[in-house]
Amino acid sequence: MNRGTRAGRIGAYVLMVLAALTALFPIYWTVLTSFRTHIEIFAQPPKLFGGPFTLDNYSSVLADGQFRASLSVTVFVTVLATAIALIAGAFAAYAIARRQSFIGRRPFEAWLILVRAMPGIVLAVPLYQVIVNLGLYDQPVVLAVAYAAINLPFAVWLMVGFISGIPFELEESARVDGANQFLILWRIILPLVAPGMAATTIFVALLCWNEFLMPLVLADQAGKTLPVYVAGFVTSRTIDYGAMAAAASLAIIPIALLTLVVQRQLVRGLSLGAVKD
Amino acid sequence: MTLQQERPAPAATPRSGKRRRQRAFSAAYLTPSWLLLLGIVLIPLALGLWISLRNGSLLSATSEFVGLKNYTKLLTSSLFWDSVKVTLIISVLSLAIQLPLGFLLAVVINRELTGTRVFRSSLLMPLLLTPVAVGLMWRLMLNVDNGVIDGVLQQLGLPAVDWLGNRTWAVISVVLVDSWQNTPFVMLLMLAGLQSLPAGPLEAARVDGASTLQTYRHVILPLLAPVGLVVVMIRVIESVKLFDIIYILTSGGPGTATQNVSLLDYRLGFTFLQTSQAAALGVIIVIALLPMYRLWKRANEQ
Amino acid sequence: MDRSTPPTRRRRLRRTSVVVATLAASSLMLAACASSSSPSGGSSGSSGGTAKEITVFLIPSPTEDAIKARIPEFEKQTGINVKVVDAPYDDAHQKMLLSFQAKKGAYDVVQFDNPFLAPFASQNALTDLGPYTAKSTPYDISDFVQPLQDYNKYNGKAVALNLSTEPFILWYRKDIYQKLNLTVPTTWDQYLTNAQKIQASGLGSGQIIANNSSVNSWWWLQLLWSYGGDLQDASGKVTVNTPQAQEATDYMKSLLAYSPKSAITATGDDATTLFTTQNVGQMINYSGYYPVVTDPKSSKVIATFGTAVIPVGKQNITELTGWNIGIPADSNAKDTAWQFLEWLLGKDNTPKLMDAGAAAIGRTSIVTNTAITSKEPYIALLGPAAQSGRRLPALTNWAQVSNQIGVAIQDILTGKTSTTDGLNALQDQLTTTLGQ
Repeated sequence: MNRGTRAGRIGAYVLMVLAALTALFPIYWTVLTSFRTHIEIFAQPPKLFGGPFTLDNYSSVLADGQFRASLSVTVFVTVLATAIALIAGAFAAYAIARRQSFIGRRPFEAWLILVRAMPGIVLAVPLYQVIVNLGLYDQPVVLAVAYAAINLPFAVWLMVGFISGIPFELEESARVDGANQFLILWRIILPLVAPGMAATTIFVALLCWNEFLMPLVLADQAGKTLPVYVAGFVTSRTIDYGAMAAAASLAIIPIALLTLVVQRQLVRGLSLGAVKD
Repeated sequence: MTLQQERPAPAATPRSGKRRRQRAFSAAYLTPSWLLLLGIVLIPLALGLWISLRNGSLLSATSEFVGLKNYTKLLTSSLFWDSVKVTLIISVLSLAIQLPLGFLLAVVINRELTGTRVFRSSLLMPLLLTPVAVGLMWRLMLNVDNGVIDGVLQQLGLPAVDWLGNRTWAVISVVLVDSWQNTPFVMLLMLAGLQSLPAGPLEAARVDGASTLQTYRHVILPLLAPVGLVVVMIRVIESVKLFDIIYILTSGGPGTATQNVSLLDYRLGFTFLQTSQAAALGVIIVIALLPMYRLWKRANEQ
Repeated sequence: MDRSTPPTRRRRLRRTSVVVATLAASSLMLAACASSSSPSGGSSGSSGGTAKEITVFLIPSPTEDAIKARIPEFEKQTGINVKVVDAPYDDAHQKMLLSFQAKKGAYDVVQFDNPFLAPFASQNALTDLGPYTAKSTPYDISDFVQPLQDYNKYNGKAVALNLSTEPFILWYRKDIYQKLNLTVPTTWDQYLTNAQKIQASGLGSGQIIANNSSVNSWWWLQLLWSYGGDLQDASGKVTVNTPQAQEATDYMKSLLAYSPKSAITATGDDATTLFTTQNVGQMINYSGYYPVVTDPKSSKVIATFGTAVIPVGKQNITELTGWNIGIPADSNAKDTAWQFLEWLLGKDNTPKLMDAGAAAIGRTSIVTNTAITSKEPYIALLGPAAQSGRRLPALTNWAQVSNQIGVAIQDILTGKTSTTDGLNALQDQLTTTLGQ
C-alpha cells in the first residue's frame, strides 16, 4: 500500500489516535463509573482517574438472577435472529445481485426500505395486538423472528454488495461443469463471500443485541433482553448509574467477543473483489 | 465490497423458457424473506395503515372511521413541521460529520500503517454499547454541573457549556452522540469498499503520474460510489428514525428543541396515547423516505 | 490470478463456522436451562391468574423492591405463587393499556401512577374495590383520611388502593440554614429569600425543583394552586393565563437564578441527585425520595437534611402524589389478587412493607405512630400534608396535558417565549385538548 509522505503518515497517526481516544473515552467512562459509588459518580469536580473504587455494582448485578436471565435470552435471541436474517437474506441477496429482473424484485426492494423507514412504534403496537391474540406474547422465539424481520433489510443490503463483487464467470464455469444451482451457492459462492458474511453478521448481530423497543412491547420477563434490563436501572426515584454501567460493561463482552472473532475475517476478505485484469 | 465493473450482465440465452425458469427460480429465492416479512411486518403494517384512518387511541377500545383526518391534522400542525425541521437539522449535520469523517478514517486505516489493527478495533467499540447505556452515559458526561466534559473544559480555563439545557447545544449534543456511535459504521463500510478496489485502475493512475488527490477524485471516489450510495441510504434512514439516543439524552427537550419525527411519533402514540395519529405519522415518514429507493437503484445499476 | 480458495482461508472459514456453531449451540442450551428453571406458567402467552398463581405488574422503584422482598412470606403463608413483571415507568402504563384492551387477563395486580387512574378507569379497566375494602377488617379503609380515599376514586368508585403517599414536602439543609441563620419558610416569598441568601453566600445553590418538560407540570401546578389559580375553573373552562397563573409562572422562573445550572433539565430524581450529592440548600420534591436521601451509598446529606411541610400561598393545598395499585377488570383471579393486596397493605402489615424500603403510606395509624415518626420524622408530615392534599386533575388525557404544559413552561423558562405569550399559547392549546 502506498506509504505516503512522512508528514502524511504523522497526520494519519494523529487522526487515528484522536479518533481512537474519542471512540474509547465514553467506554472508559462507563467502565470507570461501574466501579464507583453513587456519590463518587456525582463528585464535583469530576475526577478523570482514580478515586475510591467499589465492586458493589458488579456484585449486585452478577447476583441478580434477572441479569443472567437477560444475558442468556439476549444471546439466544441474537443468535437465532441473526441466523434467520442471514439465511433468508443471503438467498434474497443472491437473487437480487445476480438477476436483473424477476417477479417481485421491485416490490421486495421497496419493502426493504419501508421496513427500515418505519418508526418502531408504528410497527410495535399492531404487532403487539397480533401477537397477543395469537397467544405468542413474551416468547423469545417470537422475538427472534421479529428481530430477523426488521433487520432483514440490513442483511440484504450488505450482502447484495458482497455477492456482486464475485465475478459471474465463476458460477458460469461451475455450471458448465455440471454443478446445480444449490451446489454453486454452497460450495463456491458462500466460501468466497464468507468475509462479507462476517461483516454482515457483525452488523445484524449488533442490531439485534441492542434492540430495545421490540422486547419492551412484545415481552415481559421471559423475553427481557439486556437493553430492557439496563433500562430498568432508571427507576422512578433514582438512576442507579453505577449498576447500570456495570450491566452495560458486562453486556459489551459477548458482542465484543463475537466482533473480535469475526473481525479477522472481515478485513482480509473484504479485499475479495480485488481483481487484476 | 461490490465493484460493479466486474459484474457482467446475466448470460442472455436465446431460449425464453430458460429465462422464465430462471426468473421464477429467482423469485423463489425470496420466499423465506417474504414469509418473514409477511408475518412480522406486512400484517401489522396493514393494521397500522387501517388504524391511521380511524380515531383509535389507548383510551378507548373502540374507534370509528375518520378517513384522512389524522393526516390533515398532522400536516397542518406546527408540532409536526417543527419536528420535521429538527429532523432535517439533525440529519444534515450528522451526515455532514459521519460521511466525510468515516471516509477519512477508512482511508487512513486502509494505509495499514503499524498499529492499524488496534485502532480499528477501538473504533468499533462505540457500536457495541447498548443505546440505552450510550444515552445515559452521555447524559452523565454532558451534565453542566458535574459532568466530566464540562469539568475538563473548566480545567482548561474554558467556560462550561450547557450541553443539554440550551436549545442549540442540545441539538449539537444529539448530533455529536449520534456521530460518535455511527461514524464507525460508515468507516467500516467505506473501508470494505476501499479494500476491494481493483488494482487495475489504481495502477493505471499511478503509471499516468496522477497525484493522490487526483487519484481520489477521478478514480477512487467514482469506483466507491455504489458503496457510498448504500451507506448514505442507510444513514439517512437511520438518522431520520433516530430515537433511542434522543429519548434518553434529552427526551426531545429542552421544550421540543430536539424532538424529531421519530420522537414525535413516540409522543403521539405513547404519551398522548393517540395510536391512530401515531400510525398516520408513521405512514407519512415512510412515504417521505421511499425516495431512498432511488439511491438503492443507482447503487445497483452502476 | 488463482481463483480457488486458498487453504488458509478455508481453514479460517471452518474455524469461524465452528465458533459460530458453538456459540449458537451453547446459547440454545443456556436458554433451555434458563427457561426450564423459571417457574412454570410463565411464558405461554397470556400468563393470567388462577386461584393458585397471580401475576403482578410493578414499576421499578423502592416500592417495587420492597414488595418483591415481602412476596416470599406471602407465598409461604398461603401457597399462592406470585409472579412479578416490570417495565420502565415511561412505558409501563402504555403496556398496561395495551393489555387491558387485549382483555387476556395477563395481569392480576398492577402498580401504576395516579395520573393514569383516569385513563384506566374511564375504560372500565379496573375492578371496583369498594366491595372488597368495605368488608375487610385487616385492610381497614377508615384508617385513611378522606383526601387519601378520594385519591383512588373515579366517578365516585374506588378503583385502586393507596400504595404510597408522597406529597410535596420541603427538604432543606439544616447545616446551611444554621450557618446563615435561616428559618424554615412558611410562605413562598420566604422560600425565595432563603434561596437568594444561600446562593449569595457561596455555600451552595439556593434551591432546586424539577423543570424538565416531562415533569415540570407537577411543580407548576403546585405553584399555581398555591397562588390561588387552577387548571380549569368550576365550569371546566381552562384558566392557565389568569393573573394567578402569571404570578406562579414568574415565580417559578425567578427560582432558576438560585438553582444549579442543570436545573433547567432536571427531573424529579435529578433534583434529588443534586440535593444529595452537591450542595443545594432547599428542595421541593415528593416525600417518596426519602429512601434515596437516606441511602449512605448515594447521599452525602444523611446527617444534615431536614424536612418540613411546603410553604403556603394564597391557598393551602399540597399536591398529593404517590402510587396506586389495583386489580385489572380482565383479571381471572380477582379474589386471589385481593387476598394478596389485603395481606400486603393491611393495617398491620404496612409497617413491615415500609421497613422493607417502600415509600410511606399515609395511614392515620402510621403517621401518628410515634414509634415510627420518632425514627423518621418526615412521616409525621404526611398527616397534615394529606389533610390539605389534592391529587393531580383526573383527566383521561393528563399525559398529553402534562406534556403540553411541560413544553410551554420550559419555553418560558428558557426564555424562548415571554410568560404572557407562553401562557396564552398554552391556554389555546389546552382549550383544544380539553375541549374534546
